[in-house]
Amino acid sequence: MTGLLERLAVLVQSGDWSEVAGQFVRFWSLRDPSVRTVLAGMLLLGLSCGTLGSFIVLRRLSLLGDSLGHAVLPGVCLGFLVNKTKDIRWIFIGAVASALLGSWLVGFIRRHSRIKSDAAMGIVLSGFFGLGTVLLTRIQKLTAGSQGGLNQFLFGQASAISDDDLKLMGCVTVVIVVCVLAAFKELALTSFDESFATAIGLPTRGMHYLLMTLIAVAIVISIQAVGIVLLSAMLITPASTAYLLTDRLKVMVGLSALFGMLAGAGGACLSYLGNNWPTGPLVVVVLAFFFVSAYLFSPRHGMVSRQVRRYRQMYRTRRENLLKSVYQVAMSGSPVVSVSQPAPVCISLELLAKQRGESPAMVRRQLRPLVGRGWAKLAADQVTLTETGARRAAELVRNYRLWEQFLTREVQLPLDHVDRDAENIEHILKPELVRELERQLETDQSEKSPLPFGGEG
Amino acid sequence: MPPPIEVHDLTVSYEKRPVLWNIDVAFPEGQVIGIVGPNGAGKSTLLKAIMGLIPHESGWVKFYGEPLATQRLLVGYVPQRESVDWDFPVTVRDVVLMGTYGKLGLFRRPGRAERELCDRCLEQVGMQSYSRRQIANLSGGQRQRVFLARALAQESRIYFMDEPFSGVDAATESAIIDLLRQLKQQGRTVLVVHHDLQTAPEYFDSILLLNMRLVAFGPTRDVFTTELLQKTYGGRLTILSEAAEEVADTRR
Repeated sequence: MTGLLERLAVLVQSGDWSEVAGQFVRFWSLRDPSVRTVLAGMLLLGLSCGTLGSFIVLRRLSLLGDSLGHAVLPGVCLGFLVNKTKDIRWIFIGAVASALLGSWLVGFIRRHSRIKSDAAMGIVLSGFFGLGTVLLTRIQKLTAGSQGGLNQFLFGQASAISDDDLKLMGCVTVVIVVCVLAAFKELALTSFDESFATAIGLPTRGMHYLLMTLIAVAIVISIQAVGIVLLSAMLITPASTAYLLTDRLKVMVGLSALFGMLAGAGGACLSYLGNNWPTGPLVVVVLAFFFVSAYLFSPRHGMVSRQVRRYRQMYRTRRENLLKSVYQVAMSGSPVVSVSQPAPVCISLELLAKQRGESPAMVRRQLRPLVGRGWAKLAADQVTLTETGARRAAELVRNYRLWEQFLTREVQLPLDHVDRDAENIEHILKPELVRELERQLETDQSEKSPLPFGGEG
Repeated sequence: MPPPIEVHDLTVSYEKRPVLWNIDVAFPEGQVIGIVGPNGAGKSTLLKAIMGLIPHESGWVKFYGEPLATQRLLVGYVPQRESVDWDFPVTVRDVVLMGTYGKLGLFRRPGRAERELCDRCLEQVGMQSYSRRQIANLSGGQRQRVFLARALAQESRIYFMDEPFSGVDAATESAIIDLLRQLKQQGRTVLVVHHDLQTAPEYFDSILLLNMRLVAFGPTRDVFTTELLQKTYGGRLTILSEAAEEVADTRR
């Protein structure tokens, strides 16, 4: 890591961006066959993990992804021991079998004891991983010198992807995508409401095992590049990121697959730019970056977006309250105001400032947003509401009164409770709701209220 | 013709503890039937066991004289609202479409006919304007109506509803009552798990009183008597749950 930072610091200081740019171009020109293999591999595993991740997250199986990732290790070792070489077929078979055994064991423990599934997963995860580590150490002793090449399964090494591996990854990815597309409605329903799915005769158990098998093979093709330790990030992070961005399952699955691929390619590219920085961890860092961005800036659920909405509402309330008080100060004395024919509203800043208990300079500053909206005009010592401004003010006052009357008459709140509740409601009442209020209170209101009902200009 | 639902000697255990003992009952066609009893009486369990959602220890269930496996499409289901995650990324219409999946069969996708059916079902429960909403933004009563619309989209002859009235607003309550009346007029059989004794006699044609065993089943006016209600809710039956505890102990 310090190496990374130093290199980065040197690059930034020397301003030698042409080197980086050159590497970047070289990477995307895809002339280097090893670049092609790594990039293709990372795209494939991003796609398969991203696609399945949505169902894992929605079914709350996130921990299961992690435990299956660890559960493959003994299978990998046993697969290796068949021929004492890194024969991808045997390793694949061993790993998938071992992962499925692990997932079955989790279910078995949960069904036949009082242990809950999170503890069962933890037990299986650590037990299998321990067994795998023991086997791995033995293998390294056995093959001392000739390098078993199994170490990369722990932390991952994308450059170790061979052409044979790539073919296998391609096949597995095609199978995963085809299965998810074909059984999309079944996967969606069993994830949302399993008992309903059973009631209408869907093979829920079959869907569960299908999903487990797909997850197991996705894990197995990914561990070599990403490593057991970081693997669950490939399944969970892209899907969680997508979940923050959309309310449609199809979009979520698509986005999740896209994020998986983008992060895969991004990680591979960054690794190349940094001269063989570790690809797997970089992919995970890119994914984490995606997640943080979505967490902050997602239009609906993002933290920053929510804060921005809150501030907007706050400024709006402040603005409109000021507008209202200009209007009310100006109107005090004239009992009836028509919304359709607003009289020119004009008061001195000094009077307004006195009413609000603030200095004239401060009031003048606060009035600026109103001028910006075309609601008011500022002169040397007085403020005049424009026609739009006066109409909006009348509307606000009317909404407030409507709400106040609704609360006292229909909800029968005592008067001293009403004022606080009605304080801000006039800023957020939508036109439909205002009409509904009017309808409900449609009696002989007009003489009680200084404002006529109905006309909106 | 055999009855729509016939239950014979049904015993169900939950985590090895028997919760329903030897239920024998045949439900008549074209009625709205309430399953009534105190908390923990096994009302939902009975419903789920009849539908084959939980395994039973003994006994059998037949639908129009046939086993469940061949009759699943005849059975519509409204589960308890709390049984699903309402943050799931689907729209109201997506949920209602799920009702058509049984008839569609595996791997076939819903098309225009199914979507039109869903719109009609949503209209029946007064939710047509919500069809594109995300389900997380619905109130409790609206969620209940979405589940009812989904069951309607199943177009079944028999309906099972698990506590549809619990915690809903007045508008939803009357929507459900209307719906029950319509289903009955169409000759369908509806089983409703219910735990409000006050409303039970006005909602149901027949009532099944349940407290771990079947206390009584019959037309509401015959069954909804002080004597039978006392038998259902009274303390004498607690002996059953104590016995269940001992059964469970011997099995552990």
